Amino acid sequence: MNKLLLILLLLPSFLLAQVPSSGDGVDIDLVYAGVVGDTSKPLYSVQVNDVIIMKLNISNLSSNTITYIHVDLQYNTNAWSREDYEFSVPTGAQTTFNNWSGNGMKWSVNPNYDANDLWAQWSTQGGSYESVAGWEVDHVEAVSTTGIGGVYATIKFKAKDAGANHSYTDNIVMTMARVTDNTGSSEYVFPVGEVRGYDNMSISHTPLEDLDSNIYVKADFNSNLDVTKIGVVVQKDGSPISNNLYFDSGGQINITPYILSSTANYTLDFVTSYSATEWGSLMDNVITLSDVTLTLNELGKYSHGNIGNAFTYGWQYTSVDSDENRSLNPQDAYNLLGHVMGVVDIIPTDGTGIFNNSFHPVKKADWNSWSIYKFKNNVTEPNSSVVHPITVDFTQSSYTEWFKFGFVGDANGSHSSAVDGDAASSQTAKSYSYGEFKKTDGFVNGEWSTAIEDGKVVATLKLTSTEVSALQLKIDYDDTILTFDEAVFNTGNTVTNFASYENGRVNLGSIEQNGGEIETGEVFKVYFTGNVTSPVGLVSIFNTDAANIDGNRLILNLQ
Amino acid sequence: MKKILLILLIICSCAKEDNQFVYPYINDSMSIVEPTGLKFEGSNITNKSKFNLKVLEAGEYTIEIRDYFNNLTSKSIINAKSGDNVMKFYTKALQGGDYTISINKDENKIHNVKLSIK
Repeated sequence: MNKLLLILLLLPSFLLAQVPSSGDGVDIDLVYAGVVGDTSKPLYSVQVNDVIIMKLNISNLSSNTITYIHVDLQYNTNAWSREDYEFSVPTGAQTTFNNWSGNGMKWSVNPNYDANDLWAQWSTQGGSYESVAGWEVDHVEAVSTTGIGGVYATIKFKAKDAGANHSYTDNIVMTMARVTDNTGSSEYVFPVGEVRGYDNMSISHTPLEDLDSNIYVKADFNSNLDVTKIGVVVQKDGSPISNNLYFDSGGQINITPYILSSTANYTLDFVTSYSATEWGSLMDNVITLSDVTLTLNELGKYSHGNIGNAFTYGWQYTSVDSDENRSLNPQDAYNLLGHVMGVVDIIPTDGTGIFNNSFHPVKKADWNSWSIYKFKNNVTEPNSSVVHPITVDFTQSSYTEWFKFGFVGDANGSHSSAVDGDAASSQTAKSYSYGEFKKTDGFVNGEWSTAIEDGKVVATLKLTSTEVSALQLKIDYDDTILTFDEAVFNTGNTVTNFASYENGRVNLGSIEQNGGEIETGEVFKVYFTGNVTSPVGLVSIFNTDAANIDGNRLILNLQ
Repeated sequence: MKKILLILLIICSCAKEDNQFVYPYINDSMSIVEPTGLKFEGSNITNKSKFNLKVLEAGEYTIEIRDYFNNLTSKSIINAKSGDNVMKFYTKALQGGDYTISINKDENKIHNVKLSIK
């Protein structure tokens, strides 16, 4: 294993050693410097019709002065068209830039010397320029009385489509060079081995299609969701070609750099930066007791019932159809209740993780049109998986794939995207603002405190409002200090109460389904054992939820 | 004299950390010169860091912790004695972030500070 690591560490050195520097002579580097209009554009993104900027950069590692330099620059005219050039030389220097070859000349490398030994390639026997159609050679010369150094010439080439069978290897390449010092009494010619093409002497990039569309992924998201923790991986023909790209705070990702072909198949694989545990906590906020009451209400199993009039959109049905039989029935509602109580898990487990199984990205048009009618009549459900194929319209200068987000169990849309328009609305349901922030029917008041009573730490919720039919509280406690003992309820004789605890969190709640309401007063008391005398910070409120006797959500306002 | 020292040593070694609610001696860093006040051990609150609530009137006080959006996150009731009350602040059950911490007596706010909980 150590040997492997050593080899991997040394690999770059080996590769560099294959194209050596002159060491103490002159290195001439062929530097890619972006394209006209975008100097930061990476070479791998260069498209047909882009004009690339190439610079000849001299590193003088010797004690001599460079007063003359001549580089032969060869390029394939099917792939590149030389557009322009410019010198950057000392004042008074003379320059020459000319096409020496005409159409049809290519260097055959002298195999007795390194290909980057540019003076050896010029001055020794073994290599030759041969007549080869489609190749040209430019002379790039400068002579000066003072030293020439750094970038002495900039040449621009326009990328062309040379056809599918063309090889782009070394389609722009330095073939040879002569460098001298004339400052002394006699000319000093930098010798064989001392004029090197280093550390780059050629370009082999295959220009991409000339696609000019700017391509974005955008999301309409609920303000309860931190969209910057949601992202995508772009896949091309089934293989990932990007890192995790996260939405900005406005819900947008620019995927233009990754969509480079009009013929490839691209998909977006949704990802999150939440850990599985953090996503689980988010889902604890998504699926709460008011989702249960609303679902029971839709099914006529709550209070006086409101069959078919509590839900408005198809996604509400889809989100709570936990057995996925395209029929909403009381069992679905009780599964949801069981999930809230902590005895049933309605989030599927296909082995790919809680995010993939609970998060439902849906294309905007599909989201806005998925109605209860379609749900009930077995219309094929739109793709709500975390993998979405995309088809870019390259005729548009700007193309956007819009998404909306849903969650398993989010009947009241507390974290889901809003539905636009009325294409998905039920005509019988009441007006319902699904997906809007904190959709509620009002507020309910309570008092919360933690104190030490008879040697125990006791957290108490005192309900001061009436007409509350469901109440849920999740509280976190320091499980390194405290041990959960019990939860005691004083909510009324016909109320169903539940309490469970796991990993330092107690989940407790009460639901009255029979048209009545939860009694006021000290409704919840949670007892902990712990050898402490200060209760400060030991117990905190993770989230709350409540519903009124109509089954609609209320904000529990604790003081 | 040796017996007294031995007894003191036994008492100290048997005392559990979490029982040290009220410290018999206030070290300089936690002392409050004024007749009343609130002082935390550091500029941020860390788990089990100490704070001193100095009051004139003994009785029941509430300590409220509210998040950035003024939502009540935690509320504790303590029985304070007249003078210094040095206590531990537990943070493991709280999310890290900026909080407003207020001390109330009979529904009157007597201290209100903003601090980061780590």
